[in-house]
This record gives sequence, structure tokens and C-alpha cells, in this order.
Amino acid sequence: MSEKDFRNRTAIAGIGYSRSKENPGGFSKNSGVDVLTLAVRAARAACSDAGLDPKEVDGAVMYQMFDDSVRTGLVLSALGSRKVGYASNLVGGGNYASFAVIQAAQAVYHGIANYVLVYRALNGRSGIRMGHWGAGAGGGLHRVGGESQFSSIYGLAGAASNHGFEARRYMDLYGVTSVDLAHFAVNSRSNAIKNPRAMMRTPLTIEDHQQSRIISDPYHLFDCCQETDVACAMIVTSTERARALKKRPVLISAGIGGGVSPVPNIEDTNLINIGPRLLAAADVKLNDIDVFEGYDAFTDMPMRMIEDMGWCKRGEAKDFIKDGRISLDGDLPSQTHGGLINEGYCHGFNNVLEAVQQLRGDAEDLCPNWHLGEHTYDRKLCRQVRDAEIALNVSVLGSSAIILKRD
Amino acid sequence: MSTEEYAYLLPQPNPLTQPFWDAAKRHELVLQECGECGKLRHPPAGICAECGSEAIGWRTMSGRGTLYSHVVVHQTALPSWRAAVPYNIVMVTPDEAPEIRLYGNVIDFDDSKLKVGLSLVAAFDDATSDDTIIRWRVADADV
Repeated sequence: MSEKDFRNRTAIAGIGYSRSKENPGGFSKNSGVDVLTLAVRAARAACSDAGLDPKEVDGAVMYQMFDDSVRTGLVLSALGSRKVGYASNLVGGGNYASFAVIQAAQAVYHGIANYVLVYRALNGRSGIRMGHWGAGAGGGLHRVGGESQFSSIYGLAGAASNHGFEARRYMDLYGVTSVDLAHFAVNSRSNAIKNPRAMMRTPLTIEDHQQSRIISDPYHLFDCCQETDVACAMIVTSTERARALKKRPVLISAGIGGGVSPVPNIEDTNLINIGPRLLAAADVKLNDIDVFEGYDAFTDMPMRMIEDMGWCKRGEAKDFIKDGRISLDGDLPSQTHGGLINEGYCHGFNNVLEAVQQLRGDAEDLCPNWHLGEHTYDRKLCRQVRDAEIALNVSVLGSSAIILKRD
Repeated sequence: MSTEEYAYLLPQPNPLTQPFWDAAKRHELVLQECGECGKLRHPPAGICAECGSEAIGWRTMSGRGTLYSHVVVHQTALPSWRAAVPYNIVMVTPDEAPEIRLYGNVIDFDDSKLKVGLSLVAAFDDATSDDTIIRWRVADADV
């Protein structure tokens, strides 16, 4: 299939969160329900957003790590789907946040299925915890095998330690400081304050960041995302079908990448490999991108992506951020919902949903009629980016990425 | 010290990794190499990513390396390490194999002075009567 033929032929028709009376935003530390319930809540919400009968869903793509979610067969059955044409269960984490959408779009583009549900659902805090990544082997066992025999034996476990190495090397080589990371964290939080879904909504200062406890140096608490119970879902269909549904479609211009980041050094992101190809496939230039939602399990990750896409040189993202370029009225608004760090951690998938809302112009905020797409642009209330037409979503370390476009 | 007395985690070797740990007991750092093309790799694997050969060899390193990156852990999910915080974990590139990164701990050094590029020397810690764990010391020239 040529990139030109694929371009803008599929679309995201609806999005949904696992909202409930107890957790109106959908994100929580303890959902109180099983993961299937979370997934189906989000799926039904996405159908409702699109104006689609859930029984019409005829395909699904999901991703999970540590067997922490529910597979497509269960979710499709729970939706009452009668004619399943496509189902994919990806084993992986944040590397698949954008890729899952690409896969669904390919299934639709080739006519294998018409309405593909994409979801990530997990009880990431009350159930199987991401922060204990690599620690399972230590639960009372004295000896560890596999690759852990070369890592856990030195006390290595958990995402903050595993990714802290990347941040430390990036910081040491390019003169980036913890205060520089704090500037990124503060920008994200200032957006989260205006996001009713966000778990972290109290104001944050550079000093607050610096005084927060160290998790794994160089990461302070406010450099890290938090384990979350949540499900996010969307419906991918053809652009033609999407136009016949309720919401303004968001077109999938291009997507690229898979589960791996083959880079020479750990401070690199895979955008050095796929960034130029992605732009060419979407037929957009870097400066055409109005919104950037990069995977931010930790603050340095999107900073490195901004550099590797070419918005600035290595080590200069810190200045880019201090100059206000990623703020809501800057030229590259980023983490417009507060990112994974503040809204909550749906393993990157909530960043895709946020990009969709920005392009539809219905970002959920404190404006009285946000749901009607009416925004005040008063930055005390409003986190909608003005006239956003094109968005870039990038998965962890650039492992996969998509460009989305307003119809 | 007996295995039971050792507070932390110990390696469980398998047929592919056993020679690495056997060498550590002799106070040698060895890396697996392709028995055909000689490409070094770590962790040990059954097939060469370069040429596809399944022949396995081992090469002895000098034990000198460079600090590639590091973290200092203040909060750990590993129950057995909780009493040890804060502690460092380093990634080290052996001098003879700059593309390979080994995890380890730097001993007898102030964690706040760790930085990318420090010269390191392997330190063989006979942790139990059965296990030697490879850690690292900062080379004298860099202290």
C-alpha cells in the first residue's frame, strides 16, 4: 500500500473514557471494578461519542503488558458484536500507543473490518502495578534468572530506575538540569489544572518540583507519571463512514513504527529513524504541526522527542520550553491535558485521545460550553489550542508515531 | 557468607549464562562472542544477531570500562533492597566492547560524584560461597 493512498482515508470517529459516578474523569487510584468493566465502559463511551451502535463494532485492537488487561474477544463479546472481522492482542507497553491506532487503520483501509475498537484498559494501581516492573522476581525468591540475573541483582526494578539511565545520560551529555525538567513538569501541570479529568490539578512550582522526594535520581516525584486505574478507547473507521457519524472525524494522515526503538544510544529516541519518514508519509512539514502529545511517563522523554523531530537541537529543548514554545499559546502546545504525569497513566493511549479532542476543538476544560466546542481561550479556564489542525502523537521513545488531521 | 545470609538477589544461571558466572568466580570478566564471526554480545544468547551462527565462544575482558549512565535509587520496588536506599546502579561499557552495556554497582565512592564518562575497574565481590557478583570501582586516575 502506498502512503499516499492510505493518507487520510481512515479516521477516528469517537473516543471514550472509563467514567463512572465515583470517578467522573475516568482516571483513579482504585477503580473498584474489574478491568473488563473498565474496558467496556470506555468502549461504550467511544461508541456513544461517535453515535455508533456498539453491536456494529466488528474489530478490536488492544495492547497490554504483564497480562494486566482483557483481550479483544472478551470485550467484543461484551459489546454484543455479531460479525467480528479483525482482532489483535498486542503484547507490549507504551510503544504501542500510536501503533495500535495504525493497526486498526490498516484493517479498516483494507476492508477487513469497518468499525475497529482500539483500547488500553488496566487497573494499574489497584491491580498489576507498573512500578513493580522487574520486581516480581524479587518477591521472596532469592535467585533470579533470565535477563534479571544481570540487572535485578544490582537492585534494578521499576520504570523510574530503568528510564532514569536515559535521563541521566541525556542530562550529563547536554548540560540539562533537574530544574530544566521541572519547567517541563510545570507547563504540563498548568494545563492539567484546567482538565477536569486530570488526577493532579493543584498548582505546581519549580520549587515544589525541586523539593519533591527523589524516586530514582535524576527523577523527582514530579518527573514521574503515576500508576492509574483507567480505560481509554476509540473507534477507527473509514473517513467516509466517519463523516456519516455524529462527531467531526479526525483523519489518520500517517503512522509508522512498531514495538522497538533501535537507536545507537539510550539518550536517543527512535524519531531519529522514523520522524522524517512520518512527515513525508503525512505530507506535512514540521512547522505544520499544531499540537504535540509525546509519551511522557517521565519529563525528559518528550523533551528528547522535540529535539529528535528537529524542532530544536540536542540539549536545546530546555530553552524551547523556557521560551514558552510548548505552552497553550506557543507554537508547539504539548501535554495539553497535563500528559500522562498529571492526567493519569493509560500507558500513552490517553495522549492519543487528547490529540483527537484538540483537533475537534472540544477539549474538556473549565469553559462553560466546552462540550459544544465553545471555548473562551481565557487561560485560567481554557486549555483548547486555537485552531488546531494537525497533531503529532508519539509513543514511548519514538517507538511508534501518528499524525492526525482535522477533517 | 551462605546463600541464605546474602540480603539481596542472586543470579540463577542457565546453560547460556553459566560460563559468565563461572568466570566471575575466577575473578574474570568474560563476554560471550559469536564462535563464527567473533561479534561480542550481552546478555548471552543462542544465536548471533550479526551472522546467524549458533556457535558460541567466550572472550576475557581486561575489566576496565567507562560509566555509561547511572541512577541513584531512593525508592525501590524490590523488598530486599529497601534497607539499602539510597544506592547507585550503573551501566558500564567495557573498554574492549563499547557497544555493550553491563549493569552493576559502583562501590566505595560518593554517589553524588558519579558522572557519565568516569573510568571504572571491575571489582569481584565474593558475595556468597557460591556466587561472585561483578561490581565496579572508580579508577584511581578519576578519583
